[in-house]
Amino acid sequence: VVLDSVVIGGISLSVDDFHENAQLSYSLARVHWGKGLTTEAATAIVDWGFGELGLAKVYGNSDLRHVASWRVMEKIGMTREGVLRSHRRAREGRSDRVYYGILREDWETATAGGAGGRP
Amino acid sequence: MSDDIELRTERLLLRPFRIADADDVYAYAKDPEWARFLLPMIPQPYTRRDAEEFIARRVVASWSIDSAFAIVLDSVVVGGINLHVDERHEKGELGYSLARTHWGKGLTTEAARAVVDWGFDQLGLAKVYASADLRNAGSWRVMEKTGMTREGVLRGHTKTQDGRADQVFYGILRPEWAAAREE
Repeated sequence: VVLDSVVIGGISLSVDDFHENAQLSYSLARVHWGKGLTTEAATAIVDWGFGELGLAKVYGNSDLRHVASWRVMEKIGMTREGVLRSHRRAREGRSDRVYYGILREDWETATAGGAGGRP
Repeated sequence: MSDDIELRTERLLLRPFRIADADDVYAYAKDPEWARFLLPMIPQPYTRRDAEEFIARRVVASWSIDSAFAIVLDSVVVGGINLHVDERHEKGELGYSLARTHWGKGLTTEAARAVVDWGFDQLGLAKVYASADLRNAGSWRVMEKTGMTREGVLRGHTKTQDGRADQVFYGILRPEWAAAREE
């Protein structure tokens, strides 16, 4: 993720060819938090995943305490699908992982609405 | 070393798969109904060679990462149950299948309880979890009967023989398991 010629983060789509789904993950330099940049990047990658890669689903997960991270998933039109409790070991104890996903049909409905149609 | 691991329940013996189990596995795994909801998808039609390859993979797999037990009832292998361990996150993913002729008798629940106990007790796990096709109520009821809690339904998450499927996730945490054992 490049802003004004400086790399300020990364975003990736890990594709499962067999199940035609992909896991989205991202990180952004803290100095740039709160400007909607991750949402901007995530929207582009999700569009690319459905539009170019022909995926059936894109999903992501984050530490439940990391509200800013899962708000990005909500802003790009994903639905909360579950909270896998105590699913990982974290720096302080164990952490709950919240899962979000968007299906191809959700994405098509949102994009069909034009520029203002995206949730 | 792993060859010595045996778990016994009221009706069952759980022990590692052996090459000689191929006939038993083929006998139940060639049933398309047995395979319908399983992941990864089971080849159709299922051949004896598929059974041999399944066992060969189990025999060479690392026991400490993926502990796969044959479910033995009256000296016949009637299914399999495995715990795939993620050491870093101290959790194990439980998976199982049982011959259709033995469905409805609580055998999978019996096996699952033994493997969950083993995972917490012997492996020291913090969590055991499992997932199933949401349409496969027989499978996720086993998770409920093993004391697991439903944690989510990942919509349209997998590709199956008949279209896309919702995958339901269940889990049990170490304190919950310990409290249930106290009772």
